[in-house]
Amino acid sequence: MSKFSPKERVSKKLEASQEEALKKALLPDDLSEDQIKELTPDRFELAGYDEAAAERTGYSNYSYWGATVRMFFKNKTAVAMLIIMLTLVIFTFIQPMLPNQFDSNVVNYYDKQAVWITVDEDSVSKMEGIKHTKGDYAVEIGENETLAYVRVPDSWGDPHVFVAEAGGEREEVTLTKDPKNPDWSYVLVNRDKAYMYIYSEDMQKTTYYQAVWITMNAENLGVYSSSTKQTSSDVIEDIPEGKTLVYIQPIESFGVPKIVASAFNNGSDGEDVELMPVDGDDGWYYGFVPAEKYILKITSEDGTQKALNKGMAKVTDPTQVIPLYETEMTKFIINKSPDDVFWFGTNDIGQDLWARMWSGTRTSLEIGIIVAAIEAVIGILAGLLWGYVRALDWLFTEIYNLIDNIPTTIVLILASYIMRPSMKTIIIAMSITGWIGLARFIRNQVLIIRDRDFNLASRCLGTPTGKIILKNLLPQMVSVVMLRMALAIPGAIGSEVFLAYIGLGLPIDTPSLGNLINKGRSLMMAPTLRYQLIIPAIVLSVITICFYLVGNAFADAADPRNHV
Amino acid sequence: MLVYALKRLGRSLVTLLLLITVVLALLRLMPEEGYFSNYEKLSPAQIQLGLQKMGLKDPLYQQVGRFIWNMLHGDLGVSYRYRVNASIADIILPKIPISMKVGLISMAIGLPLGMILGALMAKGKGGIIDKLGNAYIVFIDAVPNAVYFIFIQLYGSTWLNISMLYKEEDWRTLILPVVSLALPTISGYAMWLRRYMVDETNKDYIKLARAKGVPTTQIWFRHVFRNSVVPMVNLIPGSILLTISGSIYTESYYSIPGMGGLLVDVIKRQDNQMVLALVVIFAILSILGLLFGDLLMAVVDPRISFAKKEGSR
Repeated sequence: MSKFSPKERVSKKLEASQEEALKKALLPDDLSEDQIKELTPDRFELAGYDEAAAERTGYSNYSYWGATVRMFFKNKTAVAMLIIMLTLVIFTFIQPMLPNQFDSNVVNYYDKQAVWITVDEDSVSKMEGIKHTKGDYAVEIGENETLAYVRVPDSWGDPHVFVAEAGGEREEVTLTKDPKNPDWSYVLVNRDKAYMYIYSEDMQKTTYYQAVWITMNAENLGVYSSSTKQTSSDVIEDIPEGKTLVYIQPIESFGVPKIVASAFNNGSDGEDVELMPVDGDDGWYYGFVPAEKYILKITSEDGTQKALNKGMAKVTDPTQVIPLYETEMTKFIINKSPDDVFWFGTNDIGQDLWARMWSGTRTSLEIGIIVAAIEAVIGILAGLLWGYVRALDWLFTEIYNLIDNIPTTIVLILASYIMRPSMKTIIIAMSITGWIGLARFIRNQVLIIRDRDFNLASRCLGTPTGKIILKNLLPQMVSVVMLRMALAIPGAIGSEVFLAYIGLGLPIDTPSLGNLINKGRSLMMAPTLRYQLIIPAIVLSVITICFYLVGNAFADAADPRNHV
Repeated sequence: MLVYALKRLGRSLVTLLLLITVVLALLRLMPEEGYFSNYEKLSPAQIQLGLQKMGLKDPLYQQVGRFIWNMLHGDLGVSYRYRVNASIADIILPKIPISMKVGLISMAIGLPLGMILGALMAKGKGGIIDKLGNAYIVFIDAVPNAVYFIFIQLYGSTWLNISMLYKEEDWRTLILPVVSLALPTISGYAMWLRRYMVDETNKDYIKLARAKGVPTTQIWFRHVFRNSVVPMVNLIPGSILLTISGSIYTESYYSIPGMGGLLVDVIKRQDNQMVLALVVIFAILSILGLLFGDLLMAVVDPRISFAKKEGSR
C-alpha cells in the first residue's frame, strides 16, 4: 500500500490526535509552580557521567580509520605503489645487514693474489681480478704463486689444465673443486710457469687454439689479431703442415677480402691466401697462411679499400696467469659495468655502486622523513597557536606573507650557502619554508571547525577537549597533513638533488641520490658509463613517484567527505 | 581598487625591506673568503681591515640603507671573485635578454599547449586523455626536473643529431632547452586548468544552463572555459617576470650564458656579493610577479573584491 494513500493519511491523523489527547491527560508538559515545590531531592537519582553512553549517543558505528583504509584499498594503483614503496623503503634500511655487502665508501682493489677465469660456451675465456668466490681463499698462497679459480660450462665436464713457461713444455696440473663455491675449481700456479691452457674433459675443446682471429674496426679500418676464440662454430682441425689457421671478419663493405701473406713488411714474396666462408658464423672467413709468412695485407674484394695496418697471422702465447693488481694500469676496480659481483657496477674510484645506491637512498629518505616530520610538528603546533590565539594572528600572517613571497629555491640556496653543508644544515634549510603552508591550513580549519554545530553538540554532551580535538578536529585535518608529509618526501629528495647539483649538497663521502646523480651526469658522455647515471635516476624516479601517488591516494581516502 | 593596489604595493615593499634586512644580517655568517679574491694570502688584520673598508662592520640599518640606496641607483656592488672588481650590474645586464629569450619561447609553447591539454582533460574526465595527461602530470611533478632534463639533453641531442651545448648562431641548439622548460609549464597549466574547469562544471549555473538547453559547445567555451581561465591569469605575470631569472638547470646544463647558470657559477666560486645581488633580484622578481598577478586578476575579474578578502584576514 502506498505511503500516501488516503487511508494511511487518515489513520495517521487519527493516531496523532489520539496520542495528543493521551499526552494531555497523563503527562502535562510543564509542571506547575506547586508541583515543582513538591519535588524533593530524594525523588531523584544522580545518573552520573557515563562515557560509554555519551559516546553511544554521540557517534555511530562509523570508524574513521576503518573507512579510510577501505577507501584506500579500493584504489588498486595506489595499493600497488604502496607495496613497491614499502618494499623499497624496508629494503633500503635492511640492506647493510644482508650478507656479502660492500661498504659504500670502501674503494675496491683488484685481488692481489688470485685471478678468476671464466670459460663460456663459445670457449672464450675471461680472466678477472674481481673476487667471484665467497669466503676466504681456498688454500694458502705461497710467495711465488697465484691462485687461479676456473669456471667452465657444464658441457666441458672436469677440465684438464696445463701450465707452461713462456714457449715451454706443457705440464698438467690438477684442479681441486672448491667446496664452498660449487661452480669453481682452483689451482695454485707458480709464477715461473704462468701460461695456462684449459681443455675440456674429452680434450675436444680448449680456450687456446693454434689459430688466429682477425677483426676490423669499421671506423678507422684498423686490424686486430688475437688467439682468443671468437667464432662460435668448432675450430677446423685438419690444418696442413707448416700453416697457420686464420679466421677473419672483414667489415661489410669489404665483401670477401683479399689477403696477401709475406714474411717482411712490403715484401715482394707475397702469396695470395684462399679464403672460405665459415659454416655457422656469418661474416667470418678462414684460410691457411704459411707459418713463416705471417704479415697479412688485407684489401677489399674490388681492391678499392685497404686496411689501415697489417694483420699478424702469428699464434700468440696463452694468457699469463698474474694477478690483475700487478698488470692493470690502476689498482682499483674502476668503472666496472654491472656484473654478478658488483650488481650495479663500480664508480670511477672503485666504490661499489649497489652499496652506494642504497646508502644514498637511505640518506635521501632520512632527510625526507625528518623534514616531513619537522614540517608536520611545527606546522600543526604553529597552526593551532595561530588559530586559537588571536593576539598572534598578525605576526603569523606577516611571516606567512614574507615566506610566501620568496621562492623556496632562493631560501634554500641562501640557507645552504650560509651554513656549511652537512646533513643537519640541509635539513634545517629545507624545513625553513615548508611548515608555514601547513600551519596556515590548520589555522583555517581550526577557525572553521571550532564553532561548528557538531562540536557544540560534543561539548554539550560533555566530551573533553582532548577528545574533541582527537575525534572531531583531527580527522578533518589528517588528510591534508598526510598529503603534505607524503609530498614533502619527494620534495626533499628533489631539493637534495638540486643542492648537490649547485655544489651546496652533502660532502661526497656521504652518498645520497643527489651526489650519485651528479656524479653520473659528469660521466654521461661515455656510453659505457651511463649505467652510473641511469640506475640512480630510475631508483629516484620510482621512489618519488610512489610517494607522490600514495600520498595523493591516501589524502583522498582520508578525507571524511569521501566516506559515503 | 586604487586603495587596494596601494595597500598591496605597500605590503610588497615591506616584504622586500624585511628580506633585504634578513639577508644582510645573515651576510656576516657567510664564508669570509667569499669577500676576497686572494683570501689565502691575507693576514687576519688585513682581512678585518678589508671587511671594514667594505662597510661590513657598520651597524645593520646603515648597511640596509646603503644597499637600497645603491640599488635604486642601479649599483649592485662589485664582484669579488667571479670577475674581480667588475660591476655586478655590468655582468648581469647582457645576460638578461638571453634568459628571457629562452624563457619566453618556452612559455609561448608551453602555455597554449598546457591550456589545450587541461581543457581536453577536463572535457573527457575519466577518459583516456585524462588518464594519460594525469600520468604525465604526476611524472613531471614527482620526478625532480634535474633528472629528466639530463635525459632530454643526453638522448635528445643524439636523436636530433645536434650539439649538446648552446651556440648562439645555431637556433637548433635552443630546441632542447626550450622543450625541457616547456614540459613543466605544460603540466602546471594543464593541472590547474583541469581542476578549475572540473570545479566550474559542477556549479549550479552550469546545470541550469544545461537544463535550459544551451548547446554543450557554448557551455564549454562561453561559461566553463572563460571562468576557469580567470584564476590562471594570476600565474602569468609571475611566469613572465621569472623568465628574467632564467632556469638554473637548463642554463647550466646547456651552458647558456644566462642568469640561472650565473647563480650556480657564483655559488660554486663563493662570491658573496654576487650571491646576495642575485638572490635579492630573484626575490624582487618573484614579489613583483605575485603583485602584478593579484592586480591583473582584479582588473580581469570585476567580481573579485580584494578589499573584503584583505579585511577578513
